[in-house]
Amino acid sequence: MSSKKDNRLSRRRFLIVAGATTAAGLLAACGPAATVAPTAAPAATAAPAATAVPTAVPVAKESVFIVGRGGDSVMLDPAIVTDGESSRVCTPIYDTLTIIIGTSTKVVPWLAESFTTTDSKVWDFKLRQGVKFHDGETLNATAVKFNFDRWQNKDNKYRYPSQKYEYWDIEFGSLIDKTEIVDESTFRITLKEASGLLPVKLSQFNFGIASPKAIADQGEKYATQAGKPVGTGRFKFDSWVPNDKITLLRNDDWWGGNAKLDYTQAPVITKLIFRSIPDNSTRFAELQAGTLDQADLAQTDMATLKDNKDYQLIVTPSMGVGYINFNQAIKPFDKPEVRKAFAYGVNWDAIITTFYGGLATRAAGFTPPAILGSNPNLKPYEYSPDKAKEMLKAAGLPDGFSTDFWYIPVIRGYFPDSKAIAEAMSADLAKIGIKLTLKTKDWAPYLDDRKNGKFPVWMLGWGSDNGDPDNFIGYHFIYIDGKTPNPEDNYANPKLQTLLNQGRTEGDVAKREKIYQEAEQIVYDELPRVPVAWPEGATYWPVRVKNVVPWVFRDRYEYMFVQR
Amino acid sequence: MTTYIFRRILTVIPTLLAVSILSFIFIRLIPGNPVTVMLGERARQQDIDQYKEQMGLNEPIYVQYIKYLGQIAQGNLGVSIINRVPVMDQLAYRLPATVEAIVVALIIGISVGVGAGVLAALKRNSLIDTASNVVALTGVSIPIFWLALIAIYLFAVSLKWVPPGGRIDAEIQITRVTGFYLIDSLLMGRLDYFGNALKHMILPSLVLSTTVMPNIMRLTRASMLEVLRTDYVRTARAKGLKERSVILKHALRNALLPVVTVIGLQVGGLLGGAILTENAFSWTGMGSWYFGAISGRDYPVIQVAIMFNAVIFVAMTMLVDISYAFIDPRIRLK
Repeated sequence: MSSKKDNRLSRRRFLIVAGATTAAGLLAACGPAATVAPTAAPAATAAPAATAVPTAVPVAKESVFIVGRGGDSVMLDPAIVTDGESSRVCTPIYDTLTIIIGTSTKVVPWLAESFTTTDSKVWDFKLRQGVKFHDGETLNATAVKFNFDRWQNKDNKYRYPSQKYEYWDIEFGSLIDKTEIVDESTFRITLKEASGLLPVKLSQFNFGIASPKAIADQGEKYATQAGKPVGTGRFKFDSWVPNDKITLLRNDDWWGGNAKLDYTQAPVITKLIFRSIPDNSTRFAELQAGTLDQADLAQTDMATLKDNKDYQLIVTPSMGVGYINFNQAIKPFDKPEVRKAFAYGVNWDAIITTFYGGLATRAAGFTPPAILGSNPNLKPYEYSPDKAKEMLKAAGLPDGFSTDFWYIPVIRGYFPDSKAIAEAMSADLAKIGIKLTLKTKDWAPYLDDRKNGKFPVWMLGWGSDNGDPDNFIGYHFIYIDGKTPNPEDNYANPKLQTLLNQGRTEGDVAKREKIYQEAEQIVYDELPRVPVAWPEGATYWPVRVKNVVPWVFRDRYEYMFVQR
Repeated sequence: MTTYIFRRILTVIPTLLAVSILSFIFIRLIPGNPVTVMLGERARQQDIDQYKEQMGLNEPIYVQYIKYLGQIAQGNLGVSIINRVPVMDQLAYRLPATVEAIVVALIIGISVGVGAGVLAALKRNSLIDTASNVVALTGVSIPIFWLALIAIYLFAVSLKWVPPGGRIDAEIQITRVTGFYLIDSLLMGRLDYFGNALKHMILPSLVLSTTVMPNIMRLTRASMLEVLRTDYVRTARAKGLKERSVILKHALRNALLPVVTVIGLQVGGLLGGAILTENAFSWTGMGSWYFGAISGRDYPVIQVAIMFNAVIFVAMTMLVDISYAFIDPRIRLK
């Protein structure tokens, strides 16, 4: 069993994952609701191949690439930061021991050349040779150990009271026993109990390896606005003008530049600038004016680019789900039949077609197909007002009932037009006797009230942080305290708990898949939540940006160049 | 006179104290707290509680306030909840940006406003008068944020005459000395950087100037009309002075007195306009700082924002009062 404390900040990582699509969501909260016109398939879908190698990489010359985002980074030490705007600048600077490439969810060695384990408990990471940090220091097992020690030991000399290592505590706090230097190129991690999750967890941006010398020299200032982050990545830090821009320069000595790995070509962008532009409309205007090469766009603005020849749509497979949730402590939602009436009684397919602009599929189970444990045998509940009525009758509510329904106040990929969707639901459910009173409130109190079990029925969603099922179905259904159902939905099922906890420790992929598929089946049968949509990752890029390679879990700039 | 000024300054203290107490309470009454905003969808209750404890948000509000006052007394404005940077540092960074924009906007607003006002008064009921009136009314009625967006789309996106936002091109690194880019670029000896900064300045300051220009224009016109009817102007003309001299030296000087007072008070309005304008032009000044702070419930920053505006307003009112005392001795004797 690993940490019960669990991935508390995952929501933030979701922002990273969903990048352009959702980063605008927070900002868009104050904007008008999006109306995405129903249309056919996306104009251009990039090749889904995980390691798709862009062809014809031009000779590198001075090329500036400017990214527009909603806010500034907090700091650039990936072990400490928790927000998306910091992580997206950290990822080009630091390399992790392992990585998830492209649109796959498969983890591969990265800064480590390979990793081996015999019992899923003791793991040896063979480090790549000849890797240098941006300050010229050598990457070896000592340097890696320095990082792990700093993350792990609360009384480490290079930790300061102002710093919190939340991701470490969440992911490894109760998982890693000790780390050792076997020799200069071999780093060993020993777990407290067997777990197959180590490589995927290490691929998260938070565990990027930093230069020990830089950390020691800069002290508490390291990677803050007053300091300088130093990693081994393809771009090195140049300067930071607070709330304005962060400039990175191409690292010509990057280790991957010479390695003949098909996905590791030297970057063709020589200067990478991240600009903070808080207003959605302004950011969109800058993209159109050509002063930005990539911009986080509000869903509403994306809709206007659909037929614009100057933009290319890049789609990545769904790593998220939008769902309707019920608080089973409030009657009549303790009855599965009532929850099923919501599944049968709403024409969800029509809602998907109308509001998602062709960028989502109707969810059958909770977990989307790209993530391990998604159950291919599940079929979406069909639209059938008759069956819905039968369900209500079976629940002893033949005449229906009334309830409050809460819809999210923000635009999200998983519910792009929450109010309109709620209205469509309400109209369908009224036909079978369920009367919804639609309600919403500000985002922060919405999240609070939902968590504290104040909503009877509400909508919300999720995006994966690392493509692992423990971070998906596990995250949502495991009891936080390990004993009692979570206060938000009060859903209890001991069998499901056993399965999800097994999934955490099982090292064998095939067995894990079975475990999670069984869990999916339970969730499908009891329907504690009605999964509605699996939203795809969709971003619009100007066509002048060439060689855009879709990656799910981070932005990759090294292949791209701009044709001006 | 000194006693008067001293007394006047003393009366300011309770006002500011009252503002600080009220704002301290009101900020904390906004639903949603910074911790929830920071942690998002899946934040666990125990983490929220832990964070709140750490930030002292669980203490009774009067304890929080007293602690806050203690900090202020030591010149410490607190640390931003969102990015943990000292508020004082951010203030030092953002103030010059806003001052730069406001000064340029004021220069545009005053020169165009006074110029058009004088012209309108001289050519009363002419086409110029009507036209400037219409422009002024439109300027007053158009929401500044909307005007900013329209200007961006017209002049930056479609015509590409000026850049759509920011203080300078992203590729340019300005060495910070004063924080005013127009000055720093010259200190670097880079005329091209100066030109670039100036180009970025045009749209924001023009848009921002519309918050003051109409008032200045209409007041100048009215005041000018009144002065032109006075005996001393008639006398000046009767003496055979050149019309130019009559207008500029005799009439305008006197007509500008009330205008100057209004300009002082308009600076407050400019600060308000700056919040929206800066946000639209991604101008890294005070305005966009407040805007982000309010969305993120960043209490220390919102508090400073409110206090800063209050201080500016109070100081301006005080200056106007004191200048009245200089002009009119009767006030000081009361």
